[in-house]
Amino acid sequence: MDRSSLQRQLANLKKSLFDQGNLDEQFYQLEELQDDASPNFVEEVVTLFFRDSSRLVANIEQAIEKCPRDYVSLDALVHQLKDSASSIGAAKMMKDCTVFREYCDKRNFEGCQTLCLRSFQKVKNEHSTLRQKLENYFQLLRQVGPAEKATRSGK
Amino acid sequence: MTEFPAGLRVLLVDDDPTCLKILDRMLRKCLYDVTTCSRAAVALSILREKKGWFDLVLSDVYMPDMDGFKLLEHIGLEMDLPVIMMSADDHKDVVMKGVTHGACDYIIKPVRMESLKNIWQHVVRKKRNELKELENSGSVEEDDKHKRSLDDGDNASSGCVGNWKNAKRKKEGKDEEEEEMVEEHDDSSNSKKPRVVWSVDLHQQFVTAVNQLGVDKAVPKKILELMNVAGLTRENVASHLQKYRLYLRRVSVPQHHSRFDAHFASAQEVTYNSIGSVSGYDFQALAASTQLLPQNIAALHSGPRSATNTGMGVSAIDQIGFLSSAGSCYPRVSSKGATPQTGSVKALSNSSNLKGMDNHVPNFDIIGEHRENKTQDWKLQNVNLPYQSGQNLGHGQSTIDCRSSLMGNQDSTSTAKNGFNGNAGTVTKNIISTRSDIDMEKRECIVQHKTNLVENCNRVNYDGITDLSYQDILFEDNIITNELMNVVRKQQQEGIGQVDNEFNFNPPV
Repeated sequence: MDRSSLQRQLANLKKSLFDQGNLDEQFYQLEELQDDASPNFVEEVVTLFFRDSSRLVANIEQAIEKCPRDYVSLDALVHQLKDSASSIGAAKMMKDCTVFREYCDKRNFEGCQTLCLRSFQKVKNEHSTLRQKLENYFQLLRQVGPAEKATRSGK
Repeated sequence: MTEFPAGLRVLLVDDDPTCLKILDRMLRKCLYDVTTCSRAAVALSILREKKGWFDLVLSDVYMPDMDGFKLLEHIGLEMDLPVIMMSADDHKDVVMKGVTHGACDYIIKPVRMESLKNIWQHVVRKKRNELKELENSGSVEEDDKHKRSLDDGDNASSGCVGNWKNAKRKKEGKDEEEEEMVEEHDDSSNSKKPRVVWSVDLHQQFVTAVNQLGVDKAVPKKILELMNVAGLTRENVASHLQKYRLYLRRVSVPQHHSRFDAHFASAQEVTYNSIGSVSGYDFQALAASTQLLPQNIAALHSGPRSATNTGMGVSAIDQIGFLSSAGSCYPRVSSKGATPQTGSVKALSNSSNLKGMDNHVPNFDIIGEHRENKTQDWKLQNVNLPYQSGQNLGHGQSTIDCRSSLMGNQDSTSTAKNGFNGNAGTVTKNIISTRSDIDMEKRECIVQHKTNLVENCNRVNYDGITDLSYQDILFEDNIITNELMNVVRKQQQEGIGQVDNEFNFNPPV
């Protein structure tokens, strides 16, 4: 594939991420932090995020299964996940976490565990989706090369 | 503050590795000096270990090992650094919690670069407030006497406490007892000891009380009651009493001055001073406090008094008078009114610790730039030299040396400018601090001397010995400054340059 085609692909991918709400402007902040001193900063951060958040997601899952009544801990975990997601601009994930948190409320959880679980499932799904998309993005980015920086901010 | 905001030393605390990495990068992009840690407990130990190193703390609210607010509390109590909280949680009550726990600011996550760019303002603001407090309290006595400087003798009653330490204390939010004997003032500005300056009047009250009770029978509690001075504690009185007793013992030679008692304070320190035998006064104390070299003192002393052992033939009283008058002579000093700050003295002592003191830099110019008083200009070394040259601090003679060094240091008025806010106490402190390498005792003596000096001076004035009115002389600072000036002047005039020789003494004027 020629470069310009790749570039176009990259731009499109990025655009869709934003359009679909997977990412928000916080992601641009990350990009701004990338420079010659830290050329792969964004990718590093994103990788770090997914590694950490996967652990959190697993913990939440475990918590729901083992101690569904421990809303406090559950809430804390979800809050952590949300915090983390916000730092990279994972907008959709944040939203899903918020919804889930609402369900984590004792009343809700007890009243309708199914709903809560379903809500958590959404979080999980978004997590995987985003991960996949970003992996593609970075792959493409690597292919296109650093020169692509200029066009990356295809807002 | 030239290095702000670049180089601002930030401690970043966040348990989330992603956030930590991002924030770290952002802060570095702002050219801040960042230290990261992911646990609050670790953060605290870092802060404790490197006290004074960090300018600001940036912390997450939700952390597994310790609640961010708890960390905030600890920091506020122990280090008093500005702390900025961060969280994705923007609920009003959480933000409010941050406020009530003392956070300087609360940033909602996700954090943007823009938010971080301006965090340095919190550091600056805090420092400014502290300095202001110092300045204000520099002349503020704990018991509400403000502006010692320019005060007429009235302030003496409360024992001109207001040493700048108070300011510092205030800053630290301590309400501990306001007055205490001025202990040695170590150079660190972190000293939190409240200080009491035993002014002439205060001492007089003390003496009256003691005499009433009977020197041997006087107990601090009763003395305190009789004195009935607000803010004075039993401990203050106790330690003062102890010194007084030592003084009495030491001064077995009948003093020609009735002010014997009055000068007690000065005499106290005379302990190590062989000068004690001289008029016994306070001169020595004065000398000590003012750090006048004996030679200088002699020079100062216009009187023929044969200098006794120390060559300080001048009776304390004379000296005081002299000093007082000197004070008046010294335009700068009196003109300032506010604390001419014995700047010189302070400068001496301060140099090293002026920093801490912050305002004590003695300035000959009595410039009110307190800030300037970064004594850095004052080479403490100089100050100490005289001492080391064989004058024990106890001998108060060092005063001159110090002074000289002061002079030397300041060949420009800038030093003088350091504006000591002048309280004698401060000066003393400065002196003390200067002496960092001098053992504590000496320092204490100096302090005492200084105090005495001040007291004596006051007393002198009080008795009309000098032509200076109280108003002319800032209570403590003026005296010191005056003395110094006098000494300096004298030296110049009389060609006594022993002291100054080594220090390129340049009269501040």
